[in-house]
Amino acid sequence: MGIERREFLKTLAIASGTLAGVSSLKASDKAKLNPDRFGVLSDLTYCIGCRKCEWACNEANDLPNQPLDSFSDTSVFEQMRRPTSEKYTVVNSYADKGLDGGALNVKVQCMHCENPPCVSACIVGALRKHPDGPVTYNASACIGCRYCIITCPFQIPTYEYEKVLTPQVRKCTLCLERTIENEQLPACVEVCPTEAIIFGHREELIDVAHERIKKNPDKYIDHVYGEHEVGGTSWMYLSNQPFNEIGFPELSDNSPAELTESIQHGIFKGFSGPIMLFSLLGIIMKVMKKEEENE
Amino acid sequence: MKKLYMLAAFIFTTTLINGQLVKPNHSKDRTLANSQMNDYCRTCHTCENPTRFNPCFEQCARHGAQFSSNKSFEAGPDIVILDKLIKLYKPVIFSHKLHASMSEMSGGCTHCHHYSDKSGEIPACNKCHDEKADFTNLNEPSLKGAYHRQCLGCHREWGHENACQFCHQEIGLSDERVSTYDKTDIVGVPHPLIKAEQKYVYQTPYKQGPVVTFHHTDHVDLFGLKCTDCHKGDNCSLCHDTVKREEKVVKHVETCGKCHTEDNCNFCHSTKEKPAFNHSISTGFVLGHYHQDVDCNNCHQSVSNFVRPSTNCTDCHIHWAVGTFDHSVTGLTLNEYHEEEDCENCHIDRDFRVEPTCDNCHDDINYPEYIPGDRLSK
Amino acid sequence: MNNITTLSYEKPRFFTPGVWVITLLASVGLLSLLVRFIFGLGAVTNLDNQYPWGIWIAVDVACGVALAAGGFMTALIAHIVHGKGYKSVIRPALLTATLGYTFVALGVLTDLGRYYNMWHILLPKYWSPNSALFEVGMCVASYLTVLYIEFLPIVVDRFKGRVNLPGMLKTFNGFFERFLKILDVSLKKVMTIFIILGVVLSCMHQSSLGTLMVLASVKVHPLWQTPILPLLFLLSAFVVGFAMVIFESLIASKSFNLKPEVKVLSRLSRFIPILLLIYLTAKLIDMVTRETYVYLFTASLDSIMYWIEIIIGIAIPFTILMFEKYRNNQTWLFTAAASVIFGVVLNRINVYLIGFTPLYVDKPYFPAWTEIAVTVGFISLIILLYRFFALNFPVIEDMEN
Repeated sequence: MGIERREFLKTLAIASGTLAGVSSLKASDKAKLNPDRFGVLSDLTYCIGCRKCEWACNEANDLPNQPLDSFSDTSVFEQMRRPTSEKYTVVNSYADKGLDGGALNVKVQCMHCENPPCVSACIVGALRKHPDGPVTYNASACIGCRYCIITCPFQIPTYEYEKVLTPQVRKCTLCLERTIENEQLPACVEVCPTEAIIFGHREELIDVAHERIKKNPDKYIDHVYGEHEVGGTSWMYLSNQPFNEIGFPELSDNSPAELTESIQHGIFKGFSGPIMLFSLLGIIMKVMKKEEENE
Repeated sequence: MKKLYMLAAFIFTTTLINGQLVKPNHSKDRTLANSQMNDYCRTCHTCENPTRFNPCFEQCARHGAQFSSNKSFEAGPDIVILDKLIKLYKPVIFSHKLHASMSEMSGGCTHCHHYSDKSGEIPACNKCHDEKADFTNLNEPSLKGAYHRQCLGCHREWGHENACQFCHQEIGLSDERVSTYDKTDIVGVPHPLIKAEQKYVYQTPYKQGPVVTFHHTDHVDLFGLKCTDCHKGDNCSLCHDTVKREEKVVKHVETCGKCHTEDNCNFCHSTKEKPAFNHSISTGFVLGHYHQDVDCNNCHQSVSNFVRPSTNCTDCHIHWAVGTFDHSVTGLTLNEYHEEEDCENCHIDRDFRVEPTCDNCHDDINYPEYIPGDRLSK
Repeated sequence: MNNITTLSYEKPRFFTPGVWVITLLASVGLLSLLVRFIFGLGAVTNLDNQYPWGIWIAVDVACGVALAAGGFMTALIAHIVHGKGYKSVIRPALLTATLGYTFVALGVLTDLGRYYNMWHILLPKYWSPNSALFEVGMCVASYLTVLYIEFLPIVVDRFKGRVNLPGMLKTFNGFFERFLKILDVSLKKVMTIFIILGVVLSCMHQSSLGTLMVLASVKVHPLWQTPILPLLFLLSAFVVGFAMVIFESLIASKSFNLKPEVKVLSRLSRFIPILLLIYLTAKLIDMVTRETYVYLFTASLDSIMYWIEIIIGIAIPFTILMFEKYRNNQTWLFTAAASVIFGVVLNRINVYLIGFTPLYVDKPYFPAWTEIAVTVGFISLIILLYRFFALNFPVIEDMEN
C-alpha cells in the first residue's frame, strides 16, 4: 500500500511537473518577443507588380542584380516563381484577379513567423527569432541539415546546393541591419512606389488592416492573412481575392512547433521519461536475474 | 507627507493632460494653436476628443472628405514639376491642365484632390503628405505613396500596365533605352477635343428590337444637352481601355433612362436603324421657316421633361397686335388700307394656320386672288 | 542447406564471386562520395528547395536507424528480460547495429552541407532543446558510443591471450595482455548500465525520428501525418528489430554454410505478430480519429503506397507468423521477416519522401544515380564489414567451434 501510494504520488508529481514545464515554456517563449515587434502589411490591392522590391532586395542583400529597368519586364509573370538562394523575394501575378479585372500581384518572401517551425527545427540554433520580429540566420553555426526547409509551412528557405564547402540557408532577413539596427525601412518597403507594403509595429499593422477592411468591406476579403496563421506571422496580407486562390497555403492557427515541442518536452522535460524508463528496465533486469538464479 | 501627495497629484494631472492634449505628429505648419477641434481636425479624426492613445483616425480622407472649392480647371497650374523625391528616377513633369480638363467629366477637382481649405484653396500634395515615409503614421501614405496611388489608379486601369517610364525616366540610363516621349509636347495642352460621331448604331441583346440608333448630334445640338449631362463620372478608362467594353453599354442604358422615362422600349429599340429626329414626322407639327431655329426648350420648357405645347399660335405669341406686329415678316407688306385692321378681321379667331378670309368686308374679293398689300419678292 | 556438418567446418574465404560484385558496388559508391565532397551536393544529388531531403536521409538514416533496431531489441530480450536461449543471436545483432549506426552517422555526414560543423551539437552554446533533430542527433551520437562499448568485449575476446605483435613491438605483448584483462573485468562490471542505456537511447531517438516529420505539418500526406507518429515509429522499430535479427541470421548462415538457428529464430518470431497487432491497432485508431480513411481509395500514389505498406508489411507477415507450422519453417520465416522489413522500410520512405508533398512543386524528386550509388555503396560496405567481422571476430558462435 505504502509503495503504491508513493508511486502514485510520484507519477502525479511527474505528470504535473511535465505539464507545468510545457506551459511555462510556452509562456517564456511568448515573453521573449518584444510587444513592440515589427511587421509588414502587404495590401495586394495596391501592388502594381512593378517588381522594384525585387530589385531593392537584391541591392540591399548583395544578391546578383540586373539593371532597374529590366524589372519592368512582365514576361516573368508567365510562370509562378519561388524565392531562390539568389532571390529572397519574388512577385507573382495572377491575371484577372485584381480589383479592376486586371492582375493581382503577390510578393512572396519569408513570413517571419511568430513561432517559427524552422527555428524550432534548427539543431544548432542557427535560426533564431529576434525579439523584434525577424527570423535570423547564423551561417557559422549552421551544419547544413536543411531540416528548416523541410519544416517551413510557406516553403521559403532555400539552399545553396551548388556550393561545396560553405553552402548557406538563404531567405529574407526583414533587413535586420537596416530596420532594427539603423532605424531604416526594409529595402522593399522603402522602394515600393504605392506603399502597398508598409512597415511598422505588428500590433498597429493589425489595427490598420482591420480598419481598412471595415472601411472598404466590398473591396477586401475579411481576412488578414498572417494575423493568426501558424500562430501569426510578421508579414501580413490584405487581398480582394480568397487567399487560397492566389497561392497562399491554408494553415491552421497553431504553429506546428507548438505540437512537436509539447511532444518533445512532454517526454523529455527534465529527462523524466528516459530516467523512468531507465529505472523500469533496471528493476525488470534485477527481478528477472533473481528469478533466473532461483531456478 | 501632504506635500508628497500634492506632488503625486500634480504629476498625475500633468501626465493625464499631456496624454489628452496631443502634441501630435501633424505635418509641417498644421500644428494646432489650441486644442479646439476644427474642420481641419475632422478631416482625419472621427471623434470629438482624439487623444494620443485613441486618435480615432479616419482611414483615408479621400474624395471630398472636406472639399469646398469650385474652381474651374483652368484656374490650376498648367504644369507641375514633381521633383521632391528624386532618387532612382528623374522628376515627373506633370501636365496639370491636361489631367484637370479630363477630370471635368468626372467630378472636377475632387477626382484627384480630396481636401481644400474653407476658402476653397487646394493645397499641394506635399503640404500634408510627408516626403519621408514613417512607420509611426501608418494611416497616411507618404508623398511617394500618395502620388503613385493617385496616378496609377487611372493609369493602370486604362493602360493595364505599370511602365514607370511612362511618367518618369530612370536616372543614368542612356537615352535610347527610354521612351522618346517629349515632355514639352504637353505644356499648355488640354485634353484634345473629343469628336463625336453624328450617330451611333448599337447592337443590343434585346430581341424584339436589337438595333438602337443614337443620334449624338441631335442630342447635343438639337436638344441642347451638355457633355456632362450624360458623361458624368466617366473616367479615362471608359475611352482608353481597350479590354473592357461590355460595361459601357450597360451604363448607356442607365444614362438614357435618366431622360427617357417612357415605358415604351421601341422608342429606342428597333429592328432596323432609325432616322434622325424629324419634328414633322414624329410630332405632326411642321417646323416652318421660323420655328426651325428655335431652341427646343423655348417651346418644350425643359430638356429633361418635355411638355407638349399648344399648337395655337397666340398661346405663345400673346403680344401679336396691330402696331406691334410687323406683318412684312410673313412676306406680305400690308397696304395702307389694311395696316390698321384688327388681326381677327382677316384671321378668323386669330387662328393663323387657317387661310385668311376677305368675306368680313368684301363681297367679291377672295384670298388669294387678291391680297391686302404687296408680296415681298424673295 | 541442412547437409552441412559442423565437424568438418571450415571458415569460407572472404572473397566469393558475390562478394566481388558487392565490392564493386561499394567502390562505385565511394567514388560518388568522393565527387560529392569535391564538387558539392548539387553535383551528385537531385535535391532542391522543394525536396531538401532525398534518399540519403530517407533510406540511409531513417531506414538505417529502424533496421539497426535489432541490437537493442535482442539486448532487451536477452539481457534485460533474461529470455533464455537467445545467446547465439546477440552478437550478430550487435554487430549489425554497430555497423548500421556507424553508417547512419556517415550518411548524415554525407548529407550535411557543412558536415565539418557537426561537432556543434556537442557544444552547449548551440544546444537547442526544442529541436527533435537535436534530440535525434544527441541520442544517435550517444548510442553509437554505447554500441562501441558494447562491442568492445568482442574485440577483447578476439585478442585476449592471443596478443602477438610483430617485430619490435613484441615487448609490449605482456602490457597489452594485462590491459585487455583489466578491460575485460571492468567492462563486465559496467556493461549492465550500458545495455540499459542503449535501450533507453534507442527508444528515445527511434520515436523522435517520427517527431521530426510531425513538424513538417501540412507537407506530409494526412495518411502518415499524425501527432502519434513518434509512437508509430517506435512500435514499428520494435517489430523490425526482431525481423532484422531473423533475416540477417538466416542470410549469414546461408552465406557462411552454417546450420540456420531456426529454433531460436522461431521463438523470437513469436513476438512479431503481437507487436504487429499493437502497431496496426495504433495506426487504425489514429486513422479513425483523424478520419483519414477518406484518402484510402483515392487511387493516388500515396494511397497505393499505404496499401502496400499495410498488406505486405503487416497483413502478410502477421498471417504467416500466426501459425507455429510456418514459424518453424525456414523459408516462411525468412519470407515473413523480409516482408516486415520491406513494410517498415516502405513506411520510412513514405513518411520522408513519397508522402512528403511540397506546397509548390517545380519538378518531382527522383534520386540521381550518384545518390543511389552512394546509398547502395554504403549498404555494400556494411555487408563487407559484417563479413569481415564475422570471419575474424568471435561473433557467430558456430563458426568458432
